[in-house]
Amino acid sequence: MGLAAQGRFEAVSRILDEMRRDNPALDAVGVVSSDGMPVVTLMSEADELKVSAMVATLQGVAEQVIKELRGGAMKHMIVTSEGGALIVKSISSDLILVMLVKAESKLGFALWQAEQAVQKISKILSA
Amino acid sequence: MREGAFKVVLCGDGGVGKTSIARRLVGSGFNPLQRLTVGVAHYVKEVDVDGSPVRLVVWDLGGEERFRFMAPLFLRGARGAIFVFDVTREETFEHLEEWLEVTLSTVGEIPRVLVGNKVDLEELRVVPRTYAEQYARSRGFLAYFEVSARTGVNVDAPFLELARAILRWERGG
Repeated sequence: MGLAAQGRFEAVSRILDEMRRDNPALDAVGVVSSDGMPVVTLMSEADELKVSAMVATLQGVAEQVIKELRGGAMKHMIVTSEGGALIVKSISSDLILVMLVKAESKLGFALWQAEQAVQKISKILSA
Repeated sequence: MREGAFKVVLCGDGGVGKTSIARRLVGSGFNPLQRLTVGVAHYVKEVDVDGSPVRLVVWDLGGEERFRFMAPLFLRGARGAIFVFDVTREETFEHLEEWLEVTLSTVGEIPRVLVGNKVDLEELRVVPRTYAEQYARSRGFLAYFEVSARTGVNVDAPFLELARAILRWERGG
């Protein structure tokens, strides 16, 4: 990994760290590539390789469904469970943000965090 | 991107045993009632290549015709591919060319191996070993393996060969 890439990687890591610090209900967060490999992840108990592959699949299939139904550009995907909510949001054509928040957390705040993170990460990557 | 982790895809028609091979690989055992794969399934396997640990993220593509249009989406970023056919069903061998075409058009040349599954059903075999070996050589496969997901025979070998080839490829060898 080159110095510039290392710097970007560390900057993205810091953004994810901040998200966790600001939201105790954020169980897992990560940036994965659209071909399904982890870039930066904070998901202690999960297999990040498997999760990254699954997230890329979810995103890819959801985009296809929306395109097929002529639903316009996809903004984000929310999957709710007994334990909480999974948020998947595209950062760019190559990167995806994934978050898992606890059920008791405020979904609106998590979505706002996701939006903020996407903007910051996009800025870092385009710099 | 995680170093030492590579995305590989399992391609081939529905019912050839891709999922059973993947399950065997990760130690989940053989399920004679294995259901079809809807879209794609994922498995992670760490293999040792001459002392270097390599983690393979295996994308097991649904082989049924109705999921085929999504194959390019799932193939994106693959660093290696395993093409599987059923030695007892000739059409699954004939359709390899279609799988090869979609793979090449999506990811270009990547290391690939060919696998003939269900060799435990030798009495039902319709694709001779020599025929498959010849096809593998003529279409740029690194090697041809005969395996049985049912008995577990030789199931690890194609993944190890592919991992070794990916490492060579990545190092520019």
